[in-house]
Amino acid sequence: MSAIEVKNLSRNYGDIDAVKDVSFTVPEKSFTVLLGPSGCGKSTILKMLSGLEQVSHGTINIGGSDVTEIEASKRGVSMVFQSYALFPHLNVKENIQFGLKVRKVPAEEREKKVKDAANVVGLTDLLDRKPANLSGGQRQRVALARSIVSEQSVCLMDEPLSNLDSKLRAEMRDEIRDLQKRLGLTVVYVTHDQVEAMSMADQIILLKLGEIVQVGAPEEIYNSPNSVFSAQFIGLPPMNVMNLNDIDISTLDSKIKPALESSIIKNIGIRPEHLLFSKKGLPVTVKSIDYFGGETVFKLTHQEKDFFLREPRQPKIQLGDKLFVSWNLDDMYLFDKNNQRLKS
Amino acid sequence: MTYRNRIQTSVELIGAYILAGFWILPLLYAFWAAFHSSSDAMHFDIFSPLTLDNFREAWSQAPFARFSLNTFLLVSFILPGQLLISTLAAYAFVRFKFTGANVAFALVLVQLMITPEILIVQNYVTLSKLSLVDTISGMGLPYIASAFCIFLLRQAFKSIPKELEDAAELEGCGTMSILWKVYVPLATPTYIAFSLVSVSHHWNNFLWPLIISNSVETRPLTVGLGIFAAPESGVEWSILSAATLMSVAPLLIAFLIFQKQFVQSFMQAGIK
Repeated sequence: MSAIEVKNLSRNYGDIDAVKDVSFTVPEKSFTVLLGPSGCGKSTILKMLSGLEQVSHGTINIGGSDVTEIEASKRGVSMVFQSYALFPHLNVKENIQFGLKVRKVPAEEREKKVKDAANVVGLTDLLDRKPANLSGGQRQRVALARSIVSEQSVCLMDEPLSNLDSKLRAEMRDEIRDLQKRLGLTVVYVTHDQVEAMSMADQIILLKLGEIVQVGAPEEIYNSPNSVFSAQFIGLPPMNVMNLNDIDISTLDSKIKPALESSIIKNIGIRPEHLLFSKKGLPVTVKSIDYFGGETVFKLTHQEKDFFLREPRQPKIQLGDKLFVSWNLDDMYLFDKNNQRLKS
Repeated sequence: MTYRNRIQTSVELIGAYILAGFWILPLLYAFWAAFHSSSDAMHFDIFSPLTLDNFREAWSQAPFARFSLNTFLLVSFILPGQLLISTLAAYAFVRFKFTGANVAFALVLVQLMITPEILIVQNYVTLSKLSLVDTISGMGLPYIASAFCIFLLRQAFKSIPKELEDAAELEGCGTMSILWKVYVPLATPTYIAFSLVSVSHHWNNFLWPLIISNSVETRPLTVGLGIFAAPESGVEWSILSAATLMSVAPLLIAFLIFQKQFVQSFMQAGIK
């Protein structure tokens, strides 16, 4: 059973379509990430799910009932905001129990629930603090606790980690993922960070300009992107996409050449880790070398086009060296003139 | 460079002290005169005997207890009224999109520029039609919809992030409970700042209460004091000073106690 079912959802502001005819389902107890660059409509979709934003067209189904016209507080969802939205005049405890008080939960029960939630996120010692006296990570935890305490099965998160430093972000990523599993939550998570999406999601919904580009598990999108956009949005450094006109095909391996003969092929794509230094192949010049310890990323140029090569070892290569690269036929992606993937 | 800075700072400091000294002189003199007999008040002899006679005299010449009560009633009628009306108005301006919102707000701003004194006659006519002449509510009514308060609160409410409101809405708060649980507590510094201004202004207001009040039952302190200053009977400086001190004492004491909060709330409310 799917926890959330969205059909033909649209949202327009005057003449501007923020979200265009989007349909997807979110399975129960799964972690779904809405991923895309800024302005792709991901936050608007989340707001529409929560009920804080009006729907122009389409329907939203949560837990089997149509909630398109139902007010936010009655949809059975909780939300974690980008800025955490903690009430600065209330201490941690009061922030966590804000919703319980509004819903007139009796004091004893409230006390117990707050204690449990604070325990889950490790805030037990900080209940009397004001949000101003908390670190970014602690504020984030208060926001999570407030969402947990509401006991809604669906939790919506709007870029909850974007205000944290990178080390804390990695920690909180694990924590949120762990919480979701432990509490059996259905999470819809908005982010523009593909690392977050790849490491946390069961399902990624990739968006561009208000439309869905691709839906799938992280490995599915990584291994078989359906377009140049998905190929380049996921993965770091992004997939090398080269126009066939820009490369000297005559230098390529005899196994690869026949695959490129069809006239509908416009671009080819190769992931940086699939490019190999070799004795012959595409002639390139080394433009820059980024050494990361566990891997080395080379920026190479061929006929004034740049692309990346990733190596787990540290080969003895200098800036300005003239080398050759090749790749295996299986690792090559083909795209047509509309930047759509051609399945071979 | 630091030497020049230091000189500049000390010059500024001395200037500030001189100005403060001038400013407080009348008050110091009132203290001096109130505790000395009329003849001693004019001679600044440190050893002249202190006396409380002036206070006794002033108290017996006019019903100060009644005047104080009137002032207190006036202020405690105006302030809650202002806060209630302005909160609702400011909330409407910030949160609701209604046709004519901009025109309505422009009218509020225009009202800010009109000094109440211009309207004295018109207000008197209106209130007499309402048969509210010579009543405390009549004295307070013209001030109850404060444009200044609406403006201040609107600015304070506007600075409250939308996400807080969204969070409250998601937790099940309705329109009024969002106002009460999110907007009002977050605008507390503004409420305090405005309350201080409002209370001190209406405590000291003279002209309008003088016109609208005819009897001891409604006359506030400021108007009552006017009796002592009536020039035709000759000004009794000592008794006048004693009476003045009695009138301003509550405010003065409150200011001394709350001066830290007073200054802070103005800083937070963004008025300097």
